[in-house]
Amino acid sequence: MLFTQLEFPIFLVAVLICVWLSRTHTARNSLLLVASYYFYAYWDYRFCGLLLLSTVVDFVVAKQMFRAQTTSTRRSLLLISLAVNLGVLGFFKYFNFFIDSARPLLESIGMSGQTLQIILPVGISFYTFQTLSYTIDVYRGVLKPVNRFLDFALYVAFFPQLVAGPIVRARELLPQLATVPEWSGRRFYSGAQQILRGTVKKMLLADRLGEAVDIVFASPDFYDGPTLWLAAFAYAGQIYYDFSGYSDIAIGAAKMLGYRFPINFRHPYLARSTAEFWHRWHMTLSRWLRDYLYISLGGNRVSSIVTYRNLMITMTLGGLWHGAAWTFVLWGAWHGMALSVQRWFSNHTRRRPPAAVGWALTMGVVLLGWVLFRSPDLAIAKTMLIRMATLADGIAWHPPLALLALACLLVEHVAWRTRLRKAMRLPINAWYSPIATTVMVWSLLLYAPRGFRPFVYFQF
Amino acid sequence: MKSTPVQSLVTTWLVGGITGTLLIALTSPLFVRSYAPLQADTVRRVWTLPAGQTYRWRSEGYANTSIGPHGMPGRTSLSGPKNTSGPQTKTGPQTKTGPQIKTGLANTADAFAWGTRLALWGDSQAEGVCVTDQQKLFARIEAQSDQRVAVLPLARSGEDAADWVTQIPLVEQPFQIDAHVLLIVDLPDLALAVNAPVPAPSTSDVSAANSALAARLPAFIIQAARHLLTESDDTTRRKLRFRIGPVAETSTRHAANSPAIEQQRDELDWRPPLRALRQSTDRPIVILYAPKVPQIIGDQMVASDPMAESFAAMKPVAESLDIRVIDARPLLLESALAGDWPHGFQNGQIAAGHLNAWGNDLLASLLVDAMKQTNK
Repeated sequence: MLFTQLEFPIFLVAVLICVWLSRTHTARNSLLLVASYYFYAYWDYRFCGLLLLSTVVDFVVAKQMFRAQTTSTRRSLLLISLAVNLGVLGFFKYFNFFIDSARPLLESIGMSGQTLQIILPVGISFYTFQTLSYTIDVYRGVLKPVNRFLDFALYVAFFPQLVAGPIVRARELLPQLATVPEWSGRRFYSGAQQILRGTVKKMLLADRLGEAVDIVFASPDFYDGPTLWLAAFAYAGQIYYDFSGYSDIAIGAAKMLGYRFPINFRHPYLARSTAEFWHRWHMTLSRWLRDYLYISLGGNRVSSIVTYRNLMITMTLGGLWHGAAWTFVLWGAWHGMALSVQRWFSNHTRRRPPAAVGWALTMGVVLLGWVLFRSPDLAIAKTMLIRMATLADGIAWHPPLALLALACLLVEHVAWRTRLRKAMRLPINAWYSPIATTVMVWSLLLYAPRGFRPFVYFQF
Repeated sequence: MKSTPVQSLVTTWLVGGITGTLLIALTSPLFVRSYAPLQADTVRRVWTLPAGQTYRWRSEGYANTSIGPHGMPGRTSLSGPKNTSGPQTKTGPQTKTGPQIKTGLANTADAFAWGTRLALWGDSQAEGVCVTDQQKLFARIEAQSDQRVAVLPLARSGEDAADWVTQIPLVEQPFQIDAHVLLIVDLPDLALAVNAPVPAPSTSDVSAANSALAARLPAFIIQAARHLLTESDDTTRRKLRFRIGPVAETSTRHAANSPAIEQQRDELDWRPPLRALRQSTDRPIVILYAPKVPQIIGDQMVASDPMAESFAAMKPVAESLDIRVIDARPLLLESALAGDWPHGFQNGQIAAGHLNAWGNDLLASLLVDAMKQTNK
């Protein structure tokens, strides 16, 4: 079920009423678990089995790991969890990619390079990372395994974050699921407001920008340089509003149910360095990659060269996590390179560049990265970049509503740095909150582009 | 008596809700199209927008259209722009107005004599609500001919040859039409011509119900309700789904676009529909064929017309029935290759959708060039 479908608010209200009526912790969590599996089965019930497999394996492995006496047993159990989770993810997400990439080699040794028709289960990248964080934390001894299967199953499948995050770590959510949260009217209102804001971000801004992006990226040869630049900026806006909108709805829905999720975005286009960008963009993924991959590789407690290598590996794999295509791999490597270069500079010079220069350089890195990320293949990416650089001739197309949505992006980022930040949360008592709320609801009804437009991150 | 915090909160939200709605109501004409009530036109026997209305179009293109008599988009009078005979009146189905009227023309060449009154038929492409009144096709023909012909825009969105064939005999006498120009964008629209009796618009049909709504409710409320209650095609009623997936893939392509039907069209016998068209009038008929070419599909520019074979089959049949055919495709293609795309808008998509101001200019130039040749 999409958060932007009309069915979702009806589903959410039904769940809220049932949760309100359920008195005990077991009843409440059982109900949320059933609702979460229904939410997932709404797309395709056949993949609920994978979700359950991942849940059972990690629940059992973590318990055995906690009881294990030797490090080697614990390590073996961790490897089982990694093999099952990454094996399933690898098969469904990367099998065809690797076969395609290795086809010349396979054919040269007389093997066929046949790909399979595989449907990518929605949300598999997210819940795999979520369950892995639990197992790894138990392995590292920073978390005790949970006793109640019900709580763990709900942690993995909890519908607000199931499909596209935020990637909530076990130690953040499991303690909350172990108790019945207190009812709070203010929290409920704040959650509802966040859902509305997220829906506006997705349906009014991201989808409007998406119209400008899709057409240009499909045939960049026909458009002039400024139009291609506009499409690149529009994609920067689209992916931000799309994904941060999704995160807002997820966080808001959890809040209405009484749970707290970590924030996922903090106005990333204000970043003055690539490192800062990753502290503001998809923060729960950055944190996961840092804690479970970068640090596992040795982090920065090793020689400079190895640190650069770790950065490159982490970011390249982070790119590959987004999708099985070379454009994503290159995007990750591009960011890894930018982080390495920035690290080299900060290690070798004491002076930091002026804020404006840092911001402009960061935006350049991010924008070119988005061109790689959005392009359907490397050939299109190359065409886009060459035509952007040479300001090529072609159709000049500047959709006014996309420009308006980009202006919103600018105003929102600038306003967030001023005293308006508090007002942007629309406190319940403020005189302007009902006006802004009503305008947002009407605008959604009147001005959102029509048709089926899934979230960008669903494909990951 | 001092109000409690809850009372004060409720008041704030009520007043705020009303203020927000008023803000939307005030600004909506900038962004929301018109939903004007229709009226039954007794001459044309169709539902039209009432004369004197201003119709807003806001999605692809951005323009206000002044509605004239009998629902004519952009033309506020039945009289010709340069009246050379007869009095100028604004009410005149019964009054003979306009430039020199020729009646009973038999030869298609006469369609292009200076001083004729042309009826322009077509669908939304000829209607042209995406562009201003001065940029509409009928206005461009009149302007480029230095007002030496009058063009009555009788095209309506969604109409095809079945509608034109029924309306042509009804309007010829009252509007003193000398010749008919049919703008054909989708060739299958032309194949639908059949001679059939025309029922008068019924007050019980959907248009009447919609008109009643449009008369009572502001456009922004109608638009919001439409978005909420219908699918993205604006006509299919929205159905909520609560059963689990996967949902069986159903073909969303319209049956009319299926390969079998397209093949049938290629093999279509053009004689019956064109004969029906011919039999609807003894005045000259001109078909202006202007399909959506070229188009950008994926990363390719498609210059070829998918209906080319069908057009090639239709043209000789039409000419044998003394229907003149003008092919706009070479001019449209040439213009696009030069970077001036005849279709599309900044707030839609360039090279797709409706004719823009430049596209109308191009088509007008084709017609006016033909007139100049005739009048040499």
